[in-house]
Amino acid sequence: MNDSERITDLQQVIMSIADQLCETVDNNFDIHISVDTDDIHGQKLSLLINFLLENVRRHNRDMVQLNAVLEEKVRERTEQLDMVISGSTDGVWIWDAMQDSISFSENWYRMAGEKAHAEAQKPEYWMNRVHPKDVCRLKSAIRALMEGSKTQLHAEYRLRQESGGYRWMLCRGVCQRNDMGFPKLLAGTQTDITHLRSVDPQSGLPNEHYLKERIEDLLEARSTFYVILVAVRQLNAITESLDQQATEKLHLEISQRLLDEAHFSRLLARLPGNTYAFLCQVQPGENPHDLL
Amino acid sequence: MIGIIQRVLLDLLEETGGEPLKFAVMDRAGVPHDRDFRIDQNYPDDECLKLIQGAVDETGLSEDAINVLYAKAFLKEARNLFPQFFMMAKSSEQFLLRQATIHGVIASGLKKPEERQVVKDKFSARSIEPGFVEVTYRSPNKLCGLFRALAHEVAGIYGECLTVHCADCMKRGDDACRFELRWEKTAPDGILSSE
Ligand code: HEM
Repeated sequence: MNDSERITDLQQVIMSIADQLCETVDNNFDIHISVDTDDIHGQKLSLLINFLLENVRRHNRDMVQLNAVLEEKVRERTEQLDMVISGSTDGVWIWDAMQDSISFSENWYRMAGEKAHAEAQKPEYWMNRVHPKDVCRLKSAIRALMEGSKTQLHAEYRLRQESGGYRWMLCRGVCQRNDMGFPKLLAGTQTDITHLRSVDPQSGLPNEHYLKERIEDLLEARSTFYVILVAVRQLNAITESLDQQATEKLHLEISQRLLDEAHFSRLLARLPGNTYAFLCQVQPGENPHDLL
Repeated sequence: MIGIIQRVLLDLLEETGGEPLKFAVMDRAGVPHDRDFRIDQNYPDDECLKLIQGAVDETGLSEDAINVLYAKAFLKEARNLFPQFFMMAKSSEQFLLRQATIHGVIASGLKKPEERQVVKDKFSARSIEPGFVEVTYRSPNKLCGLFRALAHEVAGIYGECLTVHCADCMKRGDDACRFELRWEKTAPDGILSSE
């Protein structure tokens, strides 16, 4: 073979290899390049390309395997997480910062007394349900989390119930950021803390927080009401000589006697310092002094 | 066996004894004279072994002597064909650590995956410590003499000195050959480094 014949032969080899490689355009690397040449350099080129293709196939296989392993891991973790979530009474929320939409768990909806929605909601859906007095605090806590001045969200607010009333919630959350440091995802839980916040654990009566909120409501509604404070003097001196069980019994007895006195329209709350409070709204035409 | 092995042997025979020697060896192995051994194709192992034996019988040289001559010719051709493999390795230790992988690269030229696997399964190499490499060789062809010759020849290319200890040997009944390759600490300037 003379030089020009060799060059033509090698050109044929290159064209043939290039044509065969066009198959890869559809991501099909499962091909074997074969060349019909006696030229050892043509053979060398084809075998090296086959080596490359083999490595691409191997990496693709590895990727598929790795994907399967990761998917299995994600499935496992999701199952575990679902178990934890369904076992707890907390609600879960996941805020996609890019889409600005929030997915709520079934429990979250249940806490608002609503039926669950499969589709994500706009942030207003949440904010509109928060007590007007608490919404600013919640929003600024979320903003602080997004801006990074806080690494954890911790906010208490009242969430309106479908039935009309409010329940106290504690919301906790964290923020995940992208490579540029912008918020990608916010996620957290919502716990109903109404009982914790509003009830005196010793007597089971509403506590000062609850009383304060009711008074605020009445003031806002410009209603007339009265508050009677009953201080039980020297209770400490008595309880000092009692054991825990007897002390509890005494407290319950006092609460019960006061409750017996309280009309259904009156609220009895336990305040710190062995003090009890009656709250009663004065209806139109009623004379507070008569009531007293 | 991939055709490069037979091709180098026949070229060497032709170079030293002309076509008569080459054809005589081919006749002994029952290989037609017009056979062109390709580097991207597989040929029967026993045909290759018969060619090697034929070379021993026709030349009257010992198997060891043939191996040494062959190793020189093979590596000359390998350096022509794949100079980059030699440039990539800064020492014969680095080269011999990569030898099993190089075989895998050449095996990619074969169409059938099972044939590629056979080639890849023959060798594995690992570094025990600097200056000490262990190579495992498992093949029905039992060409451990050729391995030794090639290993020494590679060291020679880099101007280095190497000892090859055959800790296990298929010819002694072991399941595989286990070569312990050790390098002297200091090496004179090699051919490659003076290039
Ligand atoms: C660039 C360098 C090299 C290339 C391209 C090369 C390539 C090959 C190829 C294609 C085969 C045939 C494999 C088969 O069909 O199973 C082979 C066989 C062999 N090579 Fe290499 N080789 C190289 C270097 C070496 C070196 C440095 C050694 C030893 C230190 C070596 C030892 C052997 C042996 C012993 C066989 C015979 C294997 C058997 O069939 O049992 N090779 N080589």
